[in-house]
Amino acid sequence: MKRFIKSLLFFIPVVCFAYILLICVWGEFMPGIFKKNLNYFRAGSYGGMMSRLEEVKTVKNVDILFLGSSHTYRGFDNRIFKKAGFQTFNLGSSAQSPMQTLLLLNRYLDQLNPKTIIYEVYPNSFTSDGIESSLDIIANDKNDFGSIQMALKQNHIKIYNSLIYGFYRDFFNRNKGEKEKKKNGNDTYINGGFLQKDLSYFKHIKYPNNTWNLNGKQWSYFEKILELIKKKNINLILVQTPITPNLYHSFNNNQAFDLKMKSYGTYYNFNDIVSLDDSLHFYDPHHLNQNGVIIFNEKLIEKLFTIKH
Amino acid sequence: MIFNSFDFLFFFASFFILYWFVFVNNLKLQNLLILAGSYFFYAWWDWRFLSLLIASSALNYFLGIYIGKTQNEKHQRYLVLIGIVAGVGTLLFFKYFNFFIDTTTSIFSIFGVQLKLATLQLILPLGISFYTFRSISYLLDVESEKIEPTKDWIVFFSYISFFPSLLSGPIDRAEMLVPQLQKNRTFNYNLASEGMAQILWGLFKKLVIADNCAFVTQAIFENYTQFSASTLLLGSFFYIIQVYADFSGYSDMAIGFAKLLGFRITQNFNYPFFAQNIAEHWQRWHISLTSWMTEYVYTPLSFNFRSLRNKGIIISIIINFILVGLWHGANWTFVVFGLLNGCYFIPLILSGALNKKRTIAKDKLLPSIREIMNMGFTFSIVMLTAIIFGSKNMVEAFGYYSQMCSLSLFTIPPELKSQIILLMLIMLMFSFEWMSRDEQFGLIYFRKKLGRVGRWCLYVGLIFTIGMYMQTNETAFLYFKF
Repeated sequence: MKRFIKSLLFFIPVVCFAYILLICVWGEFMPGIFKKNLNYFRAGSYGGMMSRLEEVKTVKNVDILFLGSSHTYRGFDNRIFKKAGFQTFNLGSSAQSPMQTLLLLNRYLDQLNPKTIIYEVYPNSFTSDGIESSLDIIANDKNDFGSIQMALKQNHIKIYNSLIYGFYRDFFNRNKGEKEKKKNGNDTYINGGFLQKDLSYFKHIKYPNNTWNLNGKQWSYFEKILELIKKKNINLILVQTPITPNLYHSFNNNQAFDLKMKSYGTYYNFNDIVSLDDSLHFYDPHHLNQNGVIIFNEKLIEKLFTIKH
Repeated sequence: MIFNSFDFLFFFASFFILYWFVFVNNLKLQNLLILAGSYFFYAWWDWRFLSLLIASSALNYFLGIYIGKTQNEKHQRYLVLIGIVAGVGTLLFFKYFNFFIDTTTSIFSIFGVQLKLATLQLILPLGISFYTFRSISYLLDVESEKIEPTKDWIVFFSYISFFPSLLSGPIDRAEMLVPQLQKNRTFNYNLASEGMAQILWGLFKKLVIADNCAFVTQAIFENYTQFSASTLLLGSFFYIIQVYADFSGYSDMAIGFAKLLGFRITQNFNYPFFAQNIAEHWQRWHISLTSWMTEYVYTPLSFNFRSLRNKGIIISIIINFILVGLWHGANWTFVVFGLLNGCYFIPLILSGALNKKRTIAKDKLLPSIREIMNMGFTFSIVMLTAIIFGSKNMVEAFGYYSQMCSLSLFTIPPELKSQIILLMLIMLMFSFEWMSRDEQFGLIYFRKKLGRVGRWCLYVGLIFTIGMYMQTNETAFLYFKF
């Protein structure tokens, strides 16, 4: 038994060390096809997160900070808000769930020091596993103890592998000098974090009846976010951005979600406020095209002025 | 609490410490710990069915004692019958009740009689097929005086519920496991380290091969009408590999965990894809079930039909395989699957090649052309028959086959390119298994040949491969539903 325990105690650190080493070598030299569970994507991936996180480090004291999923970075156009006199920054990221929002707030809230936070709430983000968003943040931001905490909470092999590789890249400054193109395919990164899609249209589709799952794991993180924002005395506005009306009305418990959100503070559901068309104002079932963005943002600005006065 | 979960890791680590450090000098307490651990492990899944397991164990324990006590053969037979009826009856109720009702209703509807029989919403108690077969073999072995009935209830209850093999086998015989439970166990370094290696090999097969194959086959089987014939062929290839890697991977882990506790349990797979005919394939596949069926079904049947000579053997084999098929579940697909497998034996019986023993590539690195052709042919029929096994019903199975019968069978499946890595990993698995084909599991050859550094490099490589290529959408072990 003594020999077995001794071997095991020696074997475990050897395995850990060798595993870390192999991940770094694999990440560095192997082509993408061989990296199934190592998802370290930077330039040109996940909706301009690399540019956004690079830019955020240079921004201070904004009027409005936008948080949320891809609906955020594709839905709140900083230029429109600037014209209305608001300095804004968009910290949305792909499939961002409250767990990642909290991590980003812990990293950047003090520096951005916003007067108001507009937090995009989409029912699905409360049930999301947040893996995609975590990978996005690990690959595009400097990793710290918060990243380890996030990885442990999610306990997913892709996150562990990518985090190991991320730490290696950070430690050896392997990402230094990398730049993301402003224009990437149909997407153009706009300073302030917005990602503009070349104008395209969607089509009318009928969806089967559906129900939002309102019992996701992410609610506790959401409440922690609200607590943090309250502690810092920042105005908070919860916003549900528009999705295609056909998709929205296929869900039978929209009101239940609205009621739940209203219980947390100021909340606007723009699916009920603006009148949009599935084809003319969207490029997919739940992302606005630029025509839709303009209508939505102008209406939101109106609401902001109403609150101000 | 599946083997490849953190829950099980914590459970087993705590169990291991108590087993080898706290209760090591007291056999009774060690067995009691096995029993308590097994019940805890079972209750983690569904505590409601724990009472069924306990009741089944208690009944068979007392029956075993009475069978041993009575000298009257008739009484012995009645007691065995009570055990079989109780075990099979419970199995029939939970597993086959709805199947029986549906079939009866369908048969009557053919004759224009519309029966309104209600089916029940039954949950299949996990592992019931496995522990029922274990109990029955115990009673039959006691009756035939192959083994003495055990009077130690802790030993007997531990034998029935031994947690490494409780949920998906192997179906250990009492003559194998009970004596090990009755004698003091000392920690054996070589056995334990071999167990660790076998668990690692099982994990590789389950997480990397089976789960990745499942990801592909699920999509193909559920939408088979949308794919080309060659893709369906590829799907059937991945499906048979999935079933093998999933079940043999589970068995490897079960055997490995048992070795860590100082037990040697039944080998369940012996590289079935290296078999050169279907008879050999079934001697190598799910060995604990096929040997059980051979001993308690096929042998008595063929004895009764011995006057019919070859016809008798054919009938016995076909009945045997229909029952093997039905053991997997209440569905006509399993009946047809069993029937077909039984029929594949007919040419072997008629040519007298049924019991011919052949060792593949004996003392050679590679098989001969003839052996490759035999293996390829056997694999092909097993693979094509498995389509029935994997289909939800016979209509879907026929649909799958008819979709496969088109000229697009001779095209390169478009999905092949995205599955190159998986194919490479399958090749890797078979290469390891080929090298270890005379041993118990795929890593043994290299464990013996390599020094400590080499072995550790091999383990690190496997752990890394698991980390890099495991399927992240967790899938349950296939044989849990049987």
